[in-house]
Amino acid sequence: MESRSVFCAAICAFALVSLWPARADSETPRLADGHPDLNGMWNGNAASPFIKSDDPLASNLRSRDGTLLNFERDGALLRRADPNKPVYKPEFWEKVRELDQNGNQADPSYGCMPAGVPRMGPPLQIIQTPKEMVFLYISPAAQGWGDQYRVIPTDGRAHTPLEDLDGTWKGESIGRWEGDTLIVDTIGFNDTSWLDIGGYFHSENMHVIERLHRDGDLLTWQATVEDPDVLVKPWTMNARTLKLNADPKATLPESLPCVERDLSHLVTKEHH
Amino acid sequence: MTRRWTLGAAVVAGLCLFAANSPAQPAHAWSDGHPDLNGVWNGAAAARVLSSGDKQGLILSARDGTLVNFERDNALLRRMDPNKPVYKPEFWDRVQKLDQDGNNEDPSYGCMPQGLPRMGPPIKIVQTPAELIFLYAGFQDIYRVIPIDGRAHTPLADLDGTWKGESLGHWEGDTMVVDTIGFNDTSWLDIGGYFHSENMHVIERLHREGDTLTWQATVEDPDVLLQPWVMNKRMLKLNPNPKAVLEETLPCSERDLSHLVTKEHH
Repeated sequence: MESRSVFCAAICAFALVSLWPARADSETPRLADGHPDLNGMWNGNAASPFIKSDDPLASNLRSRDGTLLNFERDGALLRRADPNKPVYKPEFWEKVRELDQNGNQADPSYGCMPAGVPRMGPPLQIIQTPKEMVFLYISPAAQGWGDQYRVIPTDGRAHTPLEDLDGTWKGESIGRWEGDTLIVDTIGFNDTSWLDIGGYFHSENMHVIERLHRDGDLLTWQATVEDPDVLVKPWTMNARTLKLNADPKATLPESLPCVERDLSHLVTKEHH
Repeated sequence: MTRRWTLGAAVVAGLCLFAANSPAQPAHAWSDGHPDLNGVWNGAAAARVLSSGDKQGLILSARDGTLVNFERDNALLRRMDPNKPVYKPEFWDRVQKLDQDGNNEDPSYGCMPQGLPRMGPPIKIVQTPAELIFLYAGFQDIYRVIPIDGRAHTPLADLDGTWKGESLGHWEGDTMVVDTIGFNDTSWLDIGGYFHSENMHVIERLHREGDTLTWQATVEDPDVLLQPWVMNKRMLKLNPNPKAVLEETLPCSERDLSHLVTKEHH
């Protein structure tokens, strides 16, 4: 899959940024309706790499010797070492293990399918209007083929009843403000997408709550996954802190389309 | 390709919308005085080629007004359209060969993006003072972010050729003009082997009258075309439901290509 290395790069970059302690550089701007202004491109530079390196690319990628060497393998190992994992009900432990062991075949994002919510992570660009939020993603983060968007109404509407929704990768997202925090509440998923590598499947009854909070030029995103069908308790994912791109004319690069060519040539079950 | 059916539907819907009437209402003004292009532009088609009692047949033009063979009939209708790009003579053989091998040559048959201008008009527009967001659905959930802040194009030599290119918008009176350069030479303009060069220049014009939005694209590509190609207009109707949402597009997964037994391309 052409985009796999870029994908891992993005994951590593996000993971890195999330290690960066949040701090407010400036006052949080607000829109006319009084809510924080989340508009902007949230791909500002990460502050400090996990491992110091003179290689400018390696500052976003974590491999053990601080270069780009084997960053995909090391990135996967670091993610596996993360203690924050979803806790499945005992009757699903074997299923998770089996999916994990066959991840190259079983992980839908390895066949150019979308990552879905919440695996697609925080948006790269946000457009905020009084009635809705538009979240834009590029494929290194969103996987799948090409760019992806989400349109999230914030007009106070209620969710469509779950039984009336077709399960999708992105689900039905509704936003609301709790104080200065934007809450994005999503239901209506398919049961195809994964939460992450590791065989972390979910049911169609999954409920995802994302919280976005702006503090100066930093935006913190954190998702909680509720899925009582398969999880023992809600899974609160690691928070990710993004920095506003200071260039008002910055543009998003176009995603390369995903083309699966490698899968049949893989000789190990190692999954990244 | 599991998505081909949807593609055919979208194209035919576009053709039908072309026949929509423009109501003589004044354009809705936005806060900065320019027309307000915000909205979901997938309102019902106004007229169709063939009448039908079949609800789905209303937007799909198969010859008997039903869904039977609508993909084949749609491709035939598109091929009959007299408005075609005119290639330089040295490319006639190439266009013919690409067309004849369309199932293998057409990149959108291998789950690649359609690119501009084949992706057509947006289905939803979000307008801010500094930029327009165009959202697309049906073939692929794709977006375009189009600055309208007066910036100039990046020099073509500095752009990586992409499917969507670099788009900039400006107002000419009440018409939004979106100017795009910086393409790859992989995408096609349509079925028919209509390839283009990396020097292609696309100009889209969007004009709102009442609840009707007219979109028209012009393709300039002097490397391969004898003259600019002005594509057919498409008229879109505003969705009157302020809570309308876009359906998520199914991911493209190519499974049919190796099983096709003819070269017919739709």
